[in-house]
Amino acid sequence: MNSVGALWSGLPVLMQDVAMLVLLLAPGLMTGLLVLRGFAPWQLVRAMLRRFRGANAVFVALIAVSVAIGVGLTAQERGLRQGSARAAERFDLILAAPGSEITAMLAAVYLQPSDVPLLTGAQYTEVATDPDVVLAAPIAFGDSYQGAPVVGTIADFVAHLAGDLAEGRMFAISTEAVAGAYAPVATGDRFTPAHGHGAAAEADAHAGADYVVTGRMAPTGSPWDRAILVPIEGVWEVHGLANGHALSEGERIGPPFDADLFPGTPAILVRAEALWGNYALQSRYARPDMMAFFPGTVLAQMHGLMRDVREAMSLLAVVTQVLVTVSILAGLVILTRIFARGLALLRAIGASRRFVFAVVWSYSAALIAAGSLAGLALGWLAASAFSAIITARTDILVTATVTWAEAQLVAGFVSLTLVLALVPALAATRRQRLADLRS
Amino acid sequence: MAEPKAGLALSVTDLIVLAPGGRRLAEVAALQVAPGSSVAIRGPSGAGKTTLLHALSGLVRPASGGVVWGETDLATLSDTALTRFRRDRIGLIFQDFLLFEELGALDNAAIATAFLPRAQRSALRHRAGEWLERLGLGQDGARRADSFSGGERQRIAVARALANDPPVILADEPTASLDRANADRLAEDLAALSRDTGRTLVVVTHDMTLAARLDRVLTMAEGRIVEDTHE
Repeated sequence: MNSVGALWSGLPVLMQDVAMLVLLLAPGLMTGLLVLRGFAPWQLVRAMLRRFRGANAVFVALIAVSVAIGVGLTAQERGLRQGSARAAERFDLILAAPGSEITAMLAAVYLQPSDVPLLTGAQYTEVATDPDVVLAAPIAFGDSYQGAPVVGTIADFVAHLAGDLAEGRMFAISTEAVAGAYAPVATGDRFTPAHGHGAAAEADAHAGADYVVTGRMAPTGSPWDRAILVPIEGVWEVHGLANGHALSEGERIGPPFDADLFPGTPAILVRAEALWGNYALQSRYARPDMMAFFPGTVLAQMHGLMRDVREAMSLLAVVTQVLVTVSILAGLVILTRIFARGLALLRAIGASRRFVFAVVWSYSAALIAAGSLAGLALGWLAASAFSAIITARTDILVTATVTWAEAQLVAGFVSLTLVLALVPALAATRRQRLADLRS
Repeated sequence: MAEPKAGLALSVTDLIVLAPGGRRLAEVAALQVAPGSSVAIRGPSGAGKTTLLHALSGLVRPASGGVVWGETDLATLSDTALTRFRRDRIGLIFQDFLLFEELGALDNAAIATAFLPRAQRSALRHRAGEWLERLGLGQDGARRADSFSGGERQRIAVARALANDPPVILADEPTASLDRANADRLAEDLAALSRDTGRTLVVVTHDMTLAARLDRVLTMAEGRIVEDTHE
């Protein structure tokens, strides 16, 4: 057993996936090979498919929908999980005032509007001057433009988030802005932010406080793609607060900030030189007046909490598939009765009982195969459509793709149902041949 | 067309076929049919004609007595062997054709290719095509069965019965679903079939025209043969 396990572990991942697919399909394929050995029932299967076109279409559609539910759910769930993780991967460590890590993460990473307490200038300065800290980016939000959040931060964070700008240049003064990849402004545009978000946004609250867009970020696959990033000083100024610098500094933006003139930030996005350094920083700043957490860890906890829901949904999908399959097989028994005279004729002219068995099984198999393939395609389409909707609503790039996992799910379903299809085939061979012939 | 197989002799002795409830459906003390001859079985409805035909084909197992085709006693055959005997030695024709309407004429006539051993399939399909040709449907092999007239469909059924080149043809009311003209044509085809190819032909029929073309007419009543008329 250990050697089998070692052999399995030694296989490349692709080989494991292929092998698993073959293993899952094997019972169904072996059943087919045994049932069809020596026969060529396809003309008769074609006749049955043509005769019951309407019912067959319904059966195929039912199988397709039930398979699509399973495929769509797993692909969508994985896409959402990967998308949310990808959106957070540039956020190494987040420091925030004590409270809910999830709320702070949703606000800082996913730009979900929320009221969170602020860290002070002294706290920010302590972090920013920590020798192990390479980047300490304060953020400020609360404004929006045409539904896109206007987020205040520092230029180094913009560079860290998206690398080199896709076009234009970085903001250099507090009234300049850099657009996210899909933000509703173009380089060169001038805009006035509204105070607040969504329907409650006050369009005229910041009249006269315009920004000029100087550049555009490359896509990040995160909600920051829809945001408009401005110097944090700009946000503070627009709200009538100190801008973190003494008047003598003129129009300078970015760190260092004067702790006494620092209005506060809901979160500091921190990065150490190396990965281990982030752990040291997390340990250092997780204390009563501040919390320090890794978004990836919080996400993993959230995904863990959702695992039960995910498993329940998967179970429901499987139950749906099995119920649909049982219903269809029951339907096939009824359809086979309608075809019983033809089957009785075959027996009368010399076909064996096993041949009749093979015809009915092949007919069921054709419906199952067609429905499953259609379900795989339908599931992929549905997952893609839902991904597009979720991406549009959350700005988290969700890409649901059909992978080996879905192929294996369908393979398992096909195999199971091909074996179950032996039941209507058996029922067909147990019929009274003479009575059917005379019916 | 290949040389036909010689017809088989039929010998029936002390045959009794019972219904599931025990009612006597057919009772034939003795019946001999020479190989290559043609026999019509007539009689009123419920006389046991079709039951006798089914017993002759092995579709029903008699309660007692024997049906022997050539050297083969059907009673000694297992279900599988009986099925194989029917496949190889008997061509069956039914009153209402029993075609697969969704398939073409040739596919219907050659339907046995679906379950015959692979080595025999192409020869059977070839013969099915030849029989369709001989029965006047050679140009229509690809046409769906449901697009043919009743007479034509019965001819497809005849081609199906003959495709495996059986020495025995058993037909149950083959002209009953046809109009007079088609019935006459089919009657001629069947009579010629026995006469020209040496097959043994047993036909259950109410059709006097058809019966008159065959070598011998048996009349049944209440399960028994009550009259045996040779040509």
